[in-house]
Amino acid sequence: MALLELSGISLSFSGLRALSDVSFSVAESQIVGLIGPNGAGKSTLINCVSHLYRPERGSILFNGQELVGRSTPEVAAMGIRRTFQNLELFREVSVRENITLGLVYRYRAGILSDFLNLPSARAMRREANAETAAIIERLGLNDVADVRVCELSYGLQKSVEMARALAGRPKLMLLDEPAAGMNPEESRRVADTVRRLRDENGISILLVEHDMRVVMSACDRIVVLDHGEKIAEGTPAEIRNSPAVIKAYLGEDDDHA
Amino acid sequence: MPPRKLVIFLVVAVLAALPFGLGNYGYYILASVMIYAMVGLSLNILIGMGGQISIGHAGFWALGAYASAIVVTKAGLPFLVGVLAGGVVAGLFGALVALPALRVQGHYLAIATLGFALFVQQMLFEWESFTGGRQGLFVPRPSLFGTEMQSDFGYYYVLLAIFLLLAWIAHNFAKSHTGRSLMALRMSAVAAECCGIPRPKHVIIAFATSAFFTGVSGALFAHLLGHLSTETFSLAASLSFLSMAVIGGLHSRGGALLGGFYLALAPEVLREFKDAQMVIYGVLLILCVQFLPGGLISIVDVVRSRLGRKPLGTP
Repeated sequence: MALLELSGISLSFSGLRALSDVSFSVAESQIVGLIGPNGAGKSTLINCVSHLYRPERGSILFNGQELVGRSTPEVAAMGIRRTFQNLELFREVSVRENITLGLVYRYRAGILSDFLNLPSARAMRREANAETAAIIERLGLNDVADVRVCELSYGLQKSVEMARALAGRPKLMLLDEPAAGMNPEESRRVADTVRRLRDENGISILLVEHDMRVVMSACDRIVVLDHGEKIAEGTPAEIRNSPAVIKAYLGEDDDHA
Repeated sequence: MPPRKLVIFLVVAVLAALPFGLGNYGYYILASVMIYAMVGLSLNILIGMGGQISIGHAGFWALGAYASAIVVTKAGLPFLVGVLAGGVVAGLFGALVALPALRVQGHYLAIATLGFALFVQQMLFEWESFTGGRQGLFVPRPSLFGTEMQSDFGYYYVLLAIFLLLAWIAHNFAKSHTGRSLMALRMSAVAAECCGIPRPKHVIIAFATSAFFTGVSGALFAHLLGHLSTETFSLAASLSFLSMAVIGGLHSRGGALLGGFYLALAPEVLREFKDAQMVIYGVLLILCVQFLPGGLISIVDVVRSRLGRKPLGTP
């Protein structure tokens, strides 16, 4: 059974079709790339899975459970985490606090314990802090752990967002253009990171990316969207040679995406 | 460096020493400082941590005041039970007011909370059999362990103790997982929700807790005044609370305390200016927002950062 199964997803914004009848699936421990020209509906689709948008038609099954109709926090708690194209971090607080906030939903004492700082609230904080420290250690963020996120470089901010997503112990990660704004060397590292997430943590990944080197080297399968419709699906080799994809990307002339 | 605990100890020592050498009127002013500072704490939670706005806090204040007065006079229950009842009644209404806050933000939320406060004021005015309507309601002096406190001197220490208790609760909340989740929602609602933090639950907690604090303050105020009339709980009171919280500093317990001093002392200092007072308040608020956006407490932070210390306002 597929971990994530989308069938017949459709969504439009004030009459404009953003997605129409998109279906595909992500298997356990699989890396699926989602590509397409600008405005093809890639981010919209990711927003549907993480439930920032609600699709008008279709179903999204995760581990056999329907996601449509659930709230964003519920979907997150079920094991789906994401990163954002333009970063959504808690900018005014430290790297450490960002990561803790990624896992804090699992460590809740009662509200009364929180008000009165009872032992149960303190125990929850100790456990959350220990798990945060372990993640910081593992991802090599020690040097910047207590620096405010807004003071970090763009590349480091991307790592923090990834670390925060990992803190949620996801089964599925949605990565929205992790290599955007990076040089070729950094892009290569992103591709490595994506593969390591799968190999070491067993996380399935749905990857939206413009950088073809990253997509081709990291993904097991690729889904191509154009104007909100799926126009191709297959292995990287199949996609590279698909006439429909070449046409969508290159058009009839050389207007490159 | 003086550890945080030493600073708190010194502040408490100064607060405890303040009434000595003052007369009855001085005691009354100091008692109001504590009562306003409690409202400051409530806005620290709602605005500072939760990023929500309210110009209806006079409504919660009124509910606390009337609930306590009614519980003590009509049901004959002890003073402290009345104060707790005031907090609980206001807190329940706070949870209700959170419901529009889940849908609207900014100006619209401000209008919704304003509407709530006007509704409460009108309801208390019309419900004569219960609240005394236009005649108002007499409230007995506070009493502890069966003895009535005739002087505001003793009452000031009760208020100080309750303020410290509420400040401790607010401080615990700020470092708790619930409080930090609330602050995460303020920083980025999208990111927080994608981290599994539900917005509705936390906004309701913020409003209910804030309203509870304000309700307790209102109840204590009722017993200080001795007589309640609905005019006290006008839009002007809500706006005073808001400007007090901004001028003191929205993001810390210390800011709430300074705000309390400001709201209680400014009318005394500015009495000579008579009708021009409101203009001065307005100018002070604008100057504060423009030049001291962190409030009076941020002066302490500036001094501390010159000395290389961490700002107090950070959780």
